[in-house]
Amino acid sequence: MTEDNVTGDTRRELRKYRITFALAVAGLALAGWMFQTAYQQHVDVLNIGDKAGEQLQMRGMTRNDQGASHDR
Amino acid sequence: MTVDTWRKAAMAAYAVAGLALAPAAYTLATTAANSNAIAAQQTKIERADHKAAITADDTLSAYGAAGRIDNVDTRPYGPVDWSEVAPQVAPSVVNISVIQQPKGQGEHNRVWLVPGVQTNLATNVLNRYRAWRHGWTTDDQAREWATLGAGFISGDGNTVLTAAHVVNGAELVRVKMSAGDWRAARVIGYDYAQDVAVLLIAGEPGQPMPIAPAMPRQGQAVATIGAPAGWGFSLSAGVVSRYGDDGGLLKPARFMQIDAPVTGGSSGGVVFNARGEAVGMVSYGNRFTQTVPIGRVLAVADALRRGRHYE
Repeated sequence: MTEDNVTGDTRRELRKYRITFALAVAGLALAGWMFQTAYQQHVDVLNIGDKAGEQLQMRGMTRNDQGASHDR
Repeated sequence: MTVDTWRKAAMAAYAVAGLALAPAAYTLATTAANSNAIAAQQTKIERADHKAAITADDTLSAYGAAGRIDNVDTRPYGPVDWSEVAPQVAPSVVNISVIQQPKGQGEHNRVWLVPGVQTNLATNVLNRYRAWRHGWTTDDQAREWATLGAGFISGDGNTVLTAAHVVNGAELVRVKMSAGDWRAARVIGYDYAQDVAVLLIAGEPGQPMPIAPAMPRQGQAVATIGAPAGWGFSLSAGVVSRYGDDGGLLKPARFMQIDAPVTGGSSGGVVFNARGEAVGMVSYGNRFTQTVPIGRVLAVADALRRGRHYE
């Protein structure tokens, strides 16, 4: 269907749905970027946090730095 | 495309985007909050280390470094022949091997000890994805025993003392006795901040290490037997370099520094004097090594056995 013979109302409808579609695709892309960024940030959190957790543990700055009767 | 087709496509895309954006925002907010929590704790660590360094500097004196504020050994002291001493000490020394905890889905990562770091559905999903992506299930099946340190027999002969960081993150622990036999071991207590752990070994009691009644003077000879780089029952000798406070790695405390060569795997090894008596335990260091004075090792071990916290 070409747009040469559509009425003004239909053209407006088409425009509205196309904009909605484009915004939705942009939203999906944004969601993908957010997931990717979150994953990278999570990997950094695990790597840096493991070291920070160990440092806290060895300095006695966590509540879990000491224990007894632990089956390992 | 017809208007109806565009309408359906737009509505579908709108719904999918809506469904994706909400969890994406939730996930990103979680990881950002965790990142901020870690940064805050890192600042706290830096401040604590700075304060400990200032305190150590303020309390430092040649008098203190020589150990004169400690209970130093005044007994006669002569030339040392380590070949005479080592056979007396060797029966009390053990090597420690561990199998590390499985990586699983990252549940043993110490990030979860950091105050403010949260776990929720988002972190669980990310952990699962990471474990799957890196094939951790396969890695976990390939875990093997690795000799990570040394220790020494104490008390009743079935107790082994070692450095806490040697058994940190271990799922299974075993010790190699001086006669070459392996014994299963169980961690009955650990104090990471003091770097002391207490193990209970199965089987016949071993020969407990004699304990020195006083600490060696600065410059006196000491030696240690450990498993540097995994090479078990290796002896290295040096002198007491100094006594002093240190808080750069563990909870600020007084350490006995020695210059005997040690490396990874020497940790937990007993430090002994020329009479073959325990005076400390290897903790950390590079060219010079911080050792936990034997009095504190025993006091921490005693507290752990009683289920108490050493202060």
